[in-house]
Amino acid sequence: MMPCGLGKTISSLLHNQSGRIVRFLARIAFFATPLICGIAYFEVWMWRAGENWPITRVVESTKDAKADTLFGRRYFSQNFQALKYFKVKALRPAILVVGSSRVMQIRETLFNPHERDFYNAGGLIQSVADWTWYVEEVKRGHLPLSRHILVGADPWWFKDLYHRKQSESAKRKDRCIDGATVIAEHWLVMREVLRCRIDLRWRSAGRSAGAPTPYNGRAGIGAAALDLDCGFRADGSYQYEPSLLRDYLNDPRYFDREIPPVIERVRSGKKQFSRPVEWSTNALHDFISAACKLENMGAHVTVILPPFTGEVVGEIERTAELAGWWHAYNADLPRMLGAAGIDCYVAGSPSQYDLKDDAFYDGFHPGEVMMARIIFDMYSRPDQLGIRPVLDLDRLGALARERRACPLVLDLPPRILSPPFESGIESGAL
Amino acid sequence: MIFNSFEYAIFLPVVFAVYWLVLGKSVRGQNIFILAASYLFYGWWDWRFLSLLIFSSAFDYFVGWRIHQAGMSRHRQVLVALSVIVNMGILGFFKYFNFFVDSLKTSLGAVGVSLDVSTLHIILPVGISFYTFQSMSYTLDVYRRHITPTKDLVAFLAYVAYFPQLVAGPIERAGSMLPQILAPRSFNWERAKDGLRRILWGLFKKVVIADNLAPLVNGAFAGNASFSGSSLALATVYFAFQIYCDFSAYSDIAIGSSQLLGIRLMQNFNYPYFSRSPGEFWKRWHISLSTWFRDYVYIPLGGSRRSPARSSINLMITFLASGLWHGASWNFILWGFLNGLLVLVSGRVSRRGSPSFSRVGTFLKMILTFALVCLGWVFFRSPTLTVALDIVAEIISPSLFSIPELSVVPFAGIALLAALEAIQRHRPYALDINHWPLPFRWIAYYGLTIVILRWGAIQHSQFIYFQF
Repeated sequence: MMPCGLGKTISSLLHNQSGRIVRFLARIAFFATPLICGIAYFEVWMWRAGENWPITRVVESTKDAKADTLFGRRYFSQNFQALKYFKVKALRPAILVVGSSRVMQIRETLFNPHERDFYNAGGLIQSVADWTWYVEEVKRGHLPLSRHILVGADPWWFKDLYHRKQSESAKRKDRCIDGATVIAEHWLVMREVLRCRIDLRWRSAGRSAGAPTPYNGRAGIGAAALDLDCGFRADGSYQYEPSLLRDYLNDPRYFDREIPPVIERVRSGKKQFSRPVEWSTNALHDFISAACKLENMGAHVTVILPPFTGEVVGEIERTAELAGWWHAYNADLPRMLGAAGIDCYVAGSPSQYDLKDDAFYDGFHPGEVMMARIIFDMYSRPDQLGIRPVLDLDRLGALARERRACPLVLDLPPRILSPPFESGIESGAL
Repeated sequence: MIFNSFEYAIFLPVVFAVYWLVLGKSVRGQNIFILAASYLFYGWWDWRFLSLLIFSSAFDYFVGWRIHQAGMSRHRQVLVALSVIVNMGILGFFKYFNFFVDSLKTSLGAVGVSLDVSTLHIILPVGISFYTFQSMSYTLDVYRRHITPTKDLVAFLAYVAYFPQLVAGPIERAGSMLPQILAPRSFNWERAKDGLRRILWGLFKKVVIADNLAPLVNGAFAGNASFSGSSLALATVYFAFQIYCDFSAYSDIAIGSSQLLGIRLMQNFNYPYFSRSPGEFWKRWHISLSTWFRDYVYIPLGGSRRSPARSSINLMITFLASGLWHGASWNFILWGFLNGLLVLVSGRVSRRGSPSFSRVGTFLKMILTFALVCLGWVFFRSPTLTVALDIVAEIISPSLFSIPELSVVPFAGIALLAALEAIQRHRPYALDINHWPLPFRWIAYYGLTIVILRWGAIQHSQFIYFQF
């Protein structure tokens, strides 16, 4: 049995110890307060603009078909694969466009009267490996089966080296990773603030999620949407910065905005056109096999080979190293798809649609006018089954053929000639 | 879980709070909690190898008792040999099996004998070189009657698995650490503050210096690009600071974390690049390992008590073993050999400097020692012996005097670090500024934190010594 005095001493010591520890923790908290305040200010600012909203929150906020929204992150990663995945899951569209960024200009307005059943999931699929993954996801029930699926297949998907690399990385890939939920990404963006590359001065006049975007007046989520009016519309299609349109109006000519320009990539064998360019029969087989699986499940699949500018097509055709691969893409692929019962549409160069290269943002990203004419041409063909009977082709034709001030867009934004961020832009909230 | 991760930033405060606020009245409770936390820490990397850790430590616990209880010296010898064999066997299998098989095949192939034995795909458990040595030192100390074995299994398991130093040291001795684990601990404000300071300094060295030097070093030592001698020399200097900052940072964070829990760990680095000779360097670099080899390899072999020739052999054996400990590769063995040779030769040629030139002489000795150490680092870092020899050949060629292709900007950071350490070299670590007025201390802490946030490498790179 412990002597009384010793017990009291130990009790006192321990009581004091707890007090010391609590005071220690309080001291650390006091020290950390300015840092925490700085981090909190940063996070609140980003949250206010919708910049660090998790993708799931963005999907929830924009899934209402009536909401005319624009989502574009400027500082955090776009993570459009995750966005498109969760959107498709939520919306369960009957008409679905998949592929890379080259099909992102296909708008819901082209599918009148079925706009509400349409979603553009361009960006979800970047390779044949992604395509087969998508089909597996549908097969497992993780993603809904759309009635009509338009898949844009890029030529480099069928490059042997590209296909092998993508197939390898597909095994480890987490397509649903959302940068806004990754602490390291928050740290990266915060560093940009410390480097004075992001201005966090509090502007009470606007820039909160839901505020009208500068040119189009859509409800913007994310700093790119709020500041630059670019991002993903509610139908999933991508809206480029309207400032590009203003530049075109001031200087109406084609300009390859990619870095490096697409034509340079073709000439020098860079990026998508890196050598050697060998046609991959494995990729072809996997692609067709996956498409057939979807058909067997009850979907109608149409493959689109997206267009290039006339300038780029000419350069490809002049390059001997690319000849075999280019021919296989434009001739063999459609033929084999046809033999498998899959519709395939080969988009030609702009001149075939009575347009010029200035209907493109760069060597391989067509504008919405070009895409409208492609879609109209595709569904005008008598052999087109599936969705054709239910589309308003007259309206689509009129939309596609109408002459415009700018060949990049169907309609110019209302405020295209007014400078953005005028005083009087009111903030709002969703 | 690694120290420079957000998981650890959550883990440590939670452990600290529970350890003191909930379990502060019970030593046994604290020990059980530390053990559980340590297993969680280790299992975070790969839970499958937890069983190996538990087996190794439990085995040595029971062997330690049997050694203590055994009367006959022969029986004691058999038991301690068993402990060494089991620990070295585990280490040998996981770390050296493929190396020995490949080396045997190459050697036999050279004399025309073909050996049909395939190598295995063996994962090297993180920290195995550290915890087997720590556990083994316990049975060796019990055998030598330097310590009596503990009856407390939990305390012993906690001693081996103690998370701050489990995977990359310092390699502690039971004689210094077990008493701390067994005794009641009281929270010490100053020690805890010092611990936090040490963690901050470690994070700075790791995330700002070591991780930013890594890409430059990796490119130069890949062996497939043609760099000039000056670039390779610069890359070697960068690596010298990368490995120093990386490894000493780990030790600092380990020591700091442990201080928060009221347990002192030994100093593992003592400004090694201020050494005036290779011998002094090895008293300042990875102190826990070099003292381990001194006490359990060099001294049992006879140390310096034998003839000069035999002492030299003992020294070389110790350094070769140290080289082999670092990795299953001839590069590391050659590195160990080179360092042994340097220590041997420098010990023979050391002479007293003239007092009037002592500062200049001291500085020149430091530079020369640094250069010799860097020569060893070339072999340590290079992926193969061939690459190492190519790099050395290029460094000593006329291209040493060309303008380097590598960026020299990091050199400014290194120079700043060296200046800070030069000023503070009489203190345990460079950020030991407790004697500064409070406002200046907090300015230094905030400044360092902003530097870490602003310039710290984002990717969670492993500590270099994890691979050992």
